[in-house]
Amino acid sequence: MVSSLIAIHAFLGEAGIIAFIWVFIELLNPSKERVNRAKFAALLGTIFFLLSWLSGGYYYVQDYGVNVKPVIKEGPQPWAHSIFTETKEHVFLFLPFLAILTLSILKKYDKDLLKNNNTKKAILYLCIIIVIIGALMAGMGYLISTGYRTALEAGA
Amino acid sequence: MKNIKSMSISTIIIIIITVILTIWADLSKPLKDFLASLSGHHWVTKSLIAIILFIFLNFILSKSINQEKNVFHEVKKVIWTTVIGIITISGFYILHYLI
Repeated sequence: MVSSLIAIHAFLGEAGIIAFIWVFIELLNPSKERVNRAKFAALLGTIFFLLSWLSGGYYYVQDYGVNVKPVIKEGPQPWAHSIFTETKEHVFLFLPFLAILTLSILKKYDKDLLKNNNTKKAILYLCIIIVIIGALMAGMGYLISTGYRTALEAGA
Repeated sequence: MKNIKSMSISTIIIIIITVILTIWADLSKPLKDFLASLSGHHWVTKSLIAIILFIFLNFILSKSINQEKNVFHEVKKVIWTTVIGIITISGFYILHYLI
């Protein structure tokens, strides 16, 4: 149960990242069809991040604090929790709101995107920061898992 | 959800409040316990505060703020706030662990 929730959380998060990479690519050289696909991709990405928030949050509250955190803190890499879990759980909160903002700009300025370079740049920059944060989340998730595995191997 | 300026300001405020609450609650056990008492877990309370405040602020601000013509100008502020928020939270936890 624990590992399946982590897998679902990670899958949804990574699917969200891919969706915003898709938005970025579609808008590099926008046309009416590409903007429509970008809107669809941004909607998918936003839904993926919201579901990742729910699944990760449920796991974090129900399982992580009780079963995983104490083991990591007793193991050889306590910083995996003290730095990376703490940072990840709070920085993640930025992500759904940035995704909603991106989706809203795309929906409101879909026609403007074809002629206004500044609007296009705004969405491209938002996609870049979303993908960077998403990649940071994935990287931190890996370090936390490593901290847990190392602790188990050390018999913590 | 159509006024992008009000959405950008709401996003900026949510990020700032998340950063402040995160650091403050980590330094003050009574605040962390209070947040936990509201929903059962401090992180859930922070999440709920962010959601409720985002909807509320966006609703209020969209009625009082005019639509921004230059979206990029608004987005730049959001991105800088995000970057500073990430550096502040990660920097805080690195220092908190080391000291």
